[in-house]
Amino acid sequence: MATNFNNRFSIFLVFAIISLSWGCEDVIELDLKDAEPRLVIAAGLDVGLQTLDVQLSRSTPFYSLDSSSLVSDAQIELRSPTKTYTVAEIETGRYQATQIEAVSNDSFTLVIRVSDKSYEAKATVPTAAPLIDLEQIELSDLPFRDPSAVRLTALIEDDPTTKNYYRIQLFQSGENISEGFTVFDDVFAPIDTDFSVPIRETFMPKDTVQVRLLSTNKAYYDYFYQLALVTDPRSNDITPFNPQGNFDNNALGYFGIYHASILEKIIE
Amino acid sequence: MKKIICWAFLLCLQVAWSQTYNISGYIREATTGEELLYASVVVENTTQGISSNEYGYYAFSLPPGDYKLTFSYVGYHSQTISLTLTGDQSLNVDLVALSTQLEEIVVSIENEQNVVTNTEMSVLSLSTQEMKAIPVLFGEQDVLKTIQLLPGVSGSSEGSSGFFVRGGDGDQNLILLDEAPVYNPAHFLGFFSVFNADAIQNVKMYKGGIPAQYGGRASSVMDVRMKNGNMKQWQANGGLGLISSKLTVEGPLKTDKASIIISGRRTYADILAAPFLKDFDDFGLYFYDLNAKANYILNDKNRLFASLYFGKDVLSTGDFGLDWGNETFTLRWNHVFTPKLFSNTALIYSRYNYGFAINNSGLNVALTGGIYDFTLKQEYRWYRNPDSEIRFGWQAIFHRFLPSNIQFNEAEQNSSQEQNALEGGLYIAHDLALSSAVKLNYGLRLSSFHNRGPYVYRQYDAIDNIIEETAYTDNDWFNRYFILEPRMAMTYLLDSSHSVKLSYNRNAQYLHLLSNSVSGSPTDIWLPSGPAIQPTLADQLAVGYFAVLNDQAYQWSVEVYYKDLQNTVEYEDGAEAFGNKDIESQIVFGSGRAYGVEFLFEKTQGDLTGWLSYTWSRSQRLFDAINQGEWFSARQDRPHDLALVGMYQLSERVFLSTNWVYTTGDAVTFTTGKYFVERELVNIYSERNADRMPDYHRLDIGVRWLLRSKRMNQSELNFSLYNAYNRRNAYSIRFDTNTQGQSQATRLSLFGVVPSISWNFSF
Repeated sequence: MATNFNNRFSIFLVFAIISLSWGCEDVIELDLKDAEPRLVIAAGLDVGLQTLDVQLSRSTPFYSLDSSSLVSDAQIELRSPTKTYTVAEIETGRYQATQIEAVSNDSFTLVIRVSDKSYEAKATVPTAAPLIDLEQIELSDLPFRDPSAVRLTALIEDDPTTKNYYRIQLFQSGENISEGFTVFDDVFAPIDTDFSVPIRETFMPKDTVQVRLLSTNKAYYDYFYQLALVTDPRSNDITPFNPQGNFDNNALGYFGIYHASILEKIIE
Repeated sequence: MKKIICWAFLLCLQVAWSQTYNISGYIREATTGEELLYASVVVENTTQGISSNEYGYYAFSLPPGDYKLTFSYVGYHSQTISLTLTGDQSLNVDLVALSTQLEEIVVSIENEQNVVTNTEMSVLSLSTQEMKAIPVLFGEQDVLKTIQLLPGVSGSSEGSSGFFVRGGDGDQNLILLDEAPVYNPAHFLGFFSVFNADAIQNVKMYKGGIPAQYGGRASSVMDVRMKNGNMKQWQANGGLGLISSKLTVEGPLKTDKASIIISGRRTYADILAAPFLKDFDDFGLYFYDLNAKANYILNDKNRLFASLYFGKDVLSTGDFGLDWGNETFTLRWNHVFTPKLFSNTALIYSRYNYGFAINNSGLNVALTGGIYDFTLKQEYRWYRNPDSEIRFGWQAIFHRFLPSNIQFNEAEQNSSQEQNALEGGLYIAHDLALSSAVKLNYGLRLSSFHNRGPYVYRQYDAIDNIIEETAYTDNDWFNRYFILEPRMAMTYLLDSSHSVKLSYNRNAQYLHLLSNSVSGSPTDIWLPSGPAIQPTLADQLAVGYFAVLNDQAYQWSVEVYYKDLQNTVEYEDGAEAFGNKDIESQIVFGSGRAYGVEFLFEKTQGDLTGWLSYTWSRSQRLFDAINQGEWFSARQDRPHDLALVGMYQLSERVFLSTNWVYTTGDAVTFTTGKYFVERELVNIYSERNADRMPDYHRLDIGVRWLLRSKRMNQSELNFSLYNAYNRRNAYSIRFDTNTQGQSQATRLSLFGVVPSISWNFSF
């Protein structure tokens, strides 16, 4: 499972103890070194939609007020075993290609050229696993929790003959409300029944929630697993590191291929 | 002709040696009969002096004649005994404590007579007196926190009992409780240690010059000895504190023949919090531990000891639970074959395990794991002659590493395989006085490690895919390591008050603690060496200058050391530790170096006692897979580490103590930039541990107030202020965004000023 329970409960414990003592947080100013900006690539191929979306930006200094510095005028190609697609810039820093034909186990190569430098990543089309149902479960009482909150469990039709990797995203009114990144593999999937995965976010009655399950490949999973580790606000106990994406040439980010399966639920 | 003279001379020497007689016995505390470990015996008007061993036994031989022997121990009246030696003599000596009153408390990090003359260096020795004199967090006396005030030992984090020794890693410290290894010495995630000061008699730590009888860890040995129990009379002592209470009962089962001690401790944060958490069933937040020991003197030559430790931490609500704990059991048999040959045979069991479970709203996760040890060891000490003592022995440890077993709803997965291994040690060491000025201790330890099936050895490619598997069955011994570990220490006595010492030791470590968090977790995994994981090797060289001044009222020392580490183990960046059955694919190997200068100045007598400890040191690591293969600072690389400890007798019944500590901030990795993935801030890091946390400093103040009581032997109140000037020391710094979306660095401080009060009693 992607969520790092080891750290979670050690941090939970630390916080429990802190709450019983005199712990406090305050914002401090640090004189940080600024590294050279690096290209950040977010590229995802949705097999069902036959669409590749790419966003290019550059990293910024930590205290910079710019959330991102988008990169225009890149030349982007997507190569399948049989065809090469040109990815066009549809708005500043955002690129897209449509009508991409992809079947399981096809290998794609994404090539991006920016300012005479070339960046390349490979990814393989994963096996699709549909999201079958969303079950609502009442939460039992825990300290500091709203008693009317509920949790959802996603039921997945996992293929036991292959090793599968997943990511879950949550949306409300079209807005991504996921807390961090939730990725997991099928190591705990039962062989003879559907794979039941609890969703960590909680919801209130009358909420309308859209759950998007991405069946993805290992490289995508690895990258988002590492992102989950370093971005979890409770995981500041982890030795810092840079998540390793699948692009070469010191680019940050990833190129992932996934099947998306979406269900909507109105919380009762 | 020269040959004949030479032969004759040697013959005379032989005859002279054969005409010596043995003096041997135990050095004990007069009122309790408790053996005094490492007490000093000096033959007046000679250069001869020895120490009692770790069981209070001493032995040496002298030619026939009249002698005055002086027996001494820190905090006790010395005793001089005149005797005429005409044959072997058994001499048990009872030393009388200076007083039980506060004003007589004597604090010394090592028995001052020995610090200059013996061959040991890089050794820290603490008695419970030192521990009880120093103010600590929540007023809970703690050996692991006290020892962090000494040079070369640094704490892992604020308020923590975890420690690093001379730049080594946290898992490189062998912690022994009555010879049984303790795998996790922390309660409450490190805020308390498992060692109950009321049950502890003596603590000795070897930072370097580690003698041959110890093995299995690369950086240090901490040898904690429990009290044996009062042989003379029943007594009880205990304490009530804000966080915990404790009670110890000890007494003779048969006067001067057998005794028992039982000591228990429990925290009650959960009980205090219960009124505020009425709606939550089964809320638990506590730890408890129990120490028990019995011993029986069968006769002059045989003695049996059985000691037990059991401790557990619990954090639970109705549907969430985490617990972890250690158990140790030691059965020992001391046998005196002849006055010159002492042996100890021990059968030891040690266990550390943990469990974690959530059963809430569709999320059912359980995690268990641990390690078991079964040890058999024998040791002999042969007191050959006044200038020569040989120590030899063997030990065999059978390790069983339970996998980190995870159950998720109905499914089950092991993070690592169950593994078994046999660790062996065979050693001999010779303590030899080459002349009145030069003493040498040299030895050799042959350690071994054999892995045993069932086990599936997997080899991985660069992206962690399995490329080959080899399965071993129950009876397969499939991997072997044999390592020779030379040990050497030498003392050159400049005069009776000054000496220069030199030591070298090689230590092999076959067990590795994998942790993917900075501060460690109870669920961190111990893994054995095997085909894929080489043993960690440490070579350490140290040189020191030692002095006692002004009739031993002051002592000071300076030591320089260099430590080389090979095959250190870490998780790779972003390792997937949870539920990963191929955990060995997530490990990277490297090397390390640590070096530094340690300075210690002590004042051991008078109304004002204490010490000043300063260490300048560096600790660095080199991993191909980390920091682009360049050297980087270990987290515990803190160049400056200063501790000032003072204890002052204000009046007959009031005793003040204080300590001030200053260390360079931890080596950490700060962000050098940022980017966003789907609204989430992702920080960019450059060099590993190239930045520093803010420097750490803190002042603690304690007051011990002896109360008048007719019904009790002693009753005292302890007040303490931890972090008296409320310094906000950073426990961690987080880089995130605020509600306005601006990037910010947030400092977490664990403790401001923490007052505490406790009442201790004995009757």
